[in-house]
Amino acid sequence: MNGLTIALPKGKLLVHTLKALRAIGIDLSGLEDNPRKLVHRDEASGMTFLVARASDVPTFVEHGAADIGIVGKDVLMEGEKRVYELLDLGFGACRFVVAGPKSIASEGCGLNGLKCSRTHLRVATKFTRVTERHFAGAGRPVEIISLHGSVELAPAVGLAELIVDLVETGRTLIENGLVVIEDVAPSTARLISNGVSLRLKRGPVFDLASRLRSGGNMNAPAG
Amino acid sequence: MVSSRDWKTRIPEGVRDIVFEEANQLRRLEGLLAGYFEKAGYREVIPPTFGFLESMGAGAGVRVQEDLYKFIDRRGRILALRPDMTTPVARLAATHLASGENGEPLRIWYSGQVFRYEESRRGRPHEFRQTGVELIGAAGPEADAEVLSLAIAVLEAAGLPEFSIALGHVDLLEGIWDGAAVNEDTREILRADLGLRDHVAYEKHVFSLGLNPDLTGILISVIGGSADGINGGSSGGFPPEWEALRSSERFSRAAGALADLAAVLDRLHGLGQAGRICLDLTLLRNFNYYTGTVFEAFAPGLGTRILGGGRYDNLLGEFGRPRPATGFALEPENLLIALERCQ
Repeated sequence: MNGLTIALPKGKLLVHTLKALRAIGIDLSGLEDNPRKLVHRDEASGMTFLVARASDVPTFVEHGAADIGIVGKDVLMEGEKRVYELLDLGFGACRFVVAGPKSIASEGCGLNGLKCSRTHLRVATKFTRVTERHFAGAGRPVEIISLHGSVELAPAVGLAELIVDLVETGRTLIENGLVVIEDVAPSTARLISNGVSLRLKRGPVFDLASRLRSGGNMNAPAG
Repeated sequence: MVSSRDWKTRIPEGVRDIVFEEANQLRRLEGLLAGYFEKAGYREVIPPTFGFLESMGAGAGVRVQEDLYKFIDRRGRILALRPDMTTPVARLAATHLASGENGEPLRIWYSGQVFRYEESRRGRPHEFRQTGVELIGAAGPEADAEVLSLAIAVLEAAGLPEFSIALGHVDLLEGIWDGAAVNEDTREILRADLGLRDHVAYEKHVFSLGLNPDLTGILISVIGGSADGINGGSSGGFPPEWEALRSSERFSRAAGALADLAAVLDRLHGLGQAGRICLDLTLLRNFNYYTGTVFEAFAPGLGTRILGGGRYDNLLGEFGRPRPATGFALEPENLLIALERCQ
């Protein structure tokens, strides 16, 4: 009954996540061998693992379908779910940035350094909440255009002046003739917990958190 | 687009019809709670559903103020539906029930609907029921233990096998920050971190203060980051970092709160109920009026609280007659779901 259910993110983060779990003695090679398997019961640890779309991990955890989950801060920032963020796992680093074409922007020029006469800028993004918060915080009225992919295309075809996107290396931006105007926020993978599980299964939840904290390759929280 | 005719057959987001079996179960549950509260010496009041904004919003923080259902009367005054039961009960007690008989504290119970705007598409109700008690005119841990004990007893009487009550204390958290000389601007940030359930950010902000390791350890202990950390219920002990609170003058406010909590736990221990409690300083309630102990009850299979409450010594003062008070509100609809899921 007290065995934890843990939601893991599909995709890029999964490899790092499995490595971090292996480092603390939880071997999920059964999951790795069969990518279509969505539920995996690990007899050795008594834990059950679910593999979900990264953006759904906080939803599984918020509603208690999973006690804890591993997911990027980027997903948490966009999803605004009621989950507890327990630990910065350090891997999966990326960042949200505001970017625009070289015709109106230069690297790091900031919103005030834009060469653009429009006062009401159009911003294309997949991350409408992060975008809304960022521009509201900067006191800049913008029109947000929600896209599901190929956001880098928007400035080239006149759909928007700017984009807000998640970048790892920034190569895709360069390939599309875009430069970073300013950073919005950095992101790394986080260990999250359901609020009720945090109270009712406090021991197992914190035990896993402290093992991941000391066993993983994460950075110590500093500065 | 929806034509105006279609609105006729719809109901707005956040409200619902309660039909037959569920209505029946709800009435029975509320009846059971009422009987229990009466037996414990509490008497019923039925405050009005709406009132003036200034009155209904007296206990609400800015967040909740925005979430009030507001409307305008024919003279242009702003009215609001009650967002909780405690505020109208406090108004009633302060203005009409101020003198308890022989200095005896007032023991009041109530049952009714409350109304709050919630964020869209969160599946959270805008209208929900609360049944609860207020113990007015009683200060000190005995009174807090009385309502906590009653909360545990009614959950058990309702047949809930497994639940846990998270217990915190406003002065313990603030007192720890007092002792570490954390300024108000930083507290706002730390409170926001805890409010957003972001322990990672809390930890980073604490580390960025550059305090000595002992103080840093105490501030981090607030989020209980170890398996054998804060668990007053089963182990009966506080985290080791808190020893420093008792011996150091700078932590006198925190030490007072700690003594309060120890006294509450001691009483509950005597009643065989301490095992239901887990200490949780990160517990922040929706309303700003809490001044001492705060608590919420959780059960497996339900992602939200079943009941919540705490001490609010300054709220009656808002209505002109300061008196210490403590109480809790149970949400019968949530309790029904929890009961169903544990079967």
